Amino acid sequence: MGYVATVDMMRLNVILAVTALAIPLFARDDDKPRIRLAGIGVGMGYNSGWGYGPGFYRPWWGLYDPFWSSGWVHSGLYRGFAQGPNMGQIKLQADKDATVFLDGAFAGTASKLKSIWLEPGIYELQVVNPDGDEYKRKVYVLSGKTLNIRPGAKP
Amino acid sequence: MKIAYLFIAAAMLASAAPGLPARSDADQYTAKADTPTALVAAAVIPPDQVRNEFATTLVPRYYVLEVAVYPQNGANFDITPLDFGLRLDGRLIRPADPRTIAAQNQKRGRARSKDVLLYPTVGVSTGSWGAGTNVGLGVGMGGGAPGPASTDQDRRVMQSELEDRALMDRTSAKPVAGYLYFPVGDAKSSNAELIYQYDGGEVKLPLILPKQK
Repeated sequence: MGYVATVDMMRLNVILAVTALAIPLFARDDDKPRIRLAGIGVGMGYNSGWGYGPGFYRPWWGLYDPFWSSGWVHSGLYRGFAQGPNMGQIKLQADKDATVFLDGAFAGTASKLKSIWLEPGIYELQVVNPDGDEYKRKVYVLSGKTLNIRPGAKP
Repeated sequence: MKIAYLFIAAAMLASAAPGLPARSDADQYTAKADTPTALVAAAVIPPDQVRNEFATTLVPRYYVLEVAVYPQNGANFDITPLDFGLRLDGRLIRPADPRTIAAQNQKRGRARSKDVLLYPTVGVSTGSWGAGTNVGLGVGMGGGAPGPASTDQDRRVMQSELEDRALMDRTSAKPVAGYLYFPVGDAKSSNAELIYQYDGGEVKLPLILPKQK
């Protein structure tokens, strides 16, 4: 590679979407390190001009070096390629007009609480349907875990 | 007045006792066996139900059995999880303590911070220099970030969850039930026996273990 082309500094980068889905693949449940898919990034950029310098960016080759001439930066870089905050998630599938209470306190309507992130702990979840039906259970929230709750459904 | 307070306190303790309500009829369990002083019944909880019911990861390391004891003749009956064992592949496996399960799960969660993470990326760019598509692959270590369910608070929550539904040491003249967590791991055979040992003998309850996926 005697000749290396890079894009000029006059670059207008527009990152349309960067997603870090943090999709751990829990295929096994042991304590050995494994390889996991941590996120997927999608981006778009604009470039103009050209010059010489380090790096590899030859669009017609389809080669890409994220450290020199990226049109965007993956959010995982800023997050240290780690998973999100130390919280757990409750996914609630209830009647959209149902009222949700957590530890006895009003938390909102189910339509706006499809996904609830909480600190690890034990909570009393109560869902009251418009017709008065009440669903109540103790939920155990663990960091990095998701609980799917469908009031009325048998476990 | 003091007697009333004591009565209320006793009632609260009784309602807070760990375990599950025993099913109305022992026939609702998969297997049952008589001892001189009680009827013992058990059912294997399917792995899918375990996943839905517990935030704590139990599948595929543990089999969860719902065990009920129906004391006969109204006499008090001492219940101890260690009186139960699961005979499988020639091994007799005792139920695991919720505290131990929680601690082991926490340890496994911490090990996840050493995982190698992959970040596949795709992008398109355009401009005066031409248009192109980009693909890349970022590789990183776990970064020391805690894995799922790996904090001390998580361990306490897991222990509480398991204990709340477990068959724990107790004395009762009424039917009681609860879960026992057997650390089976990989089992070759699906035919197992729940052994209940009492003074002067033991009873065997045949069970079919579902595949742990």
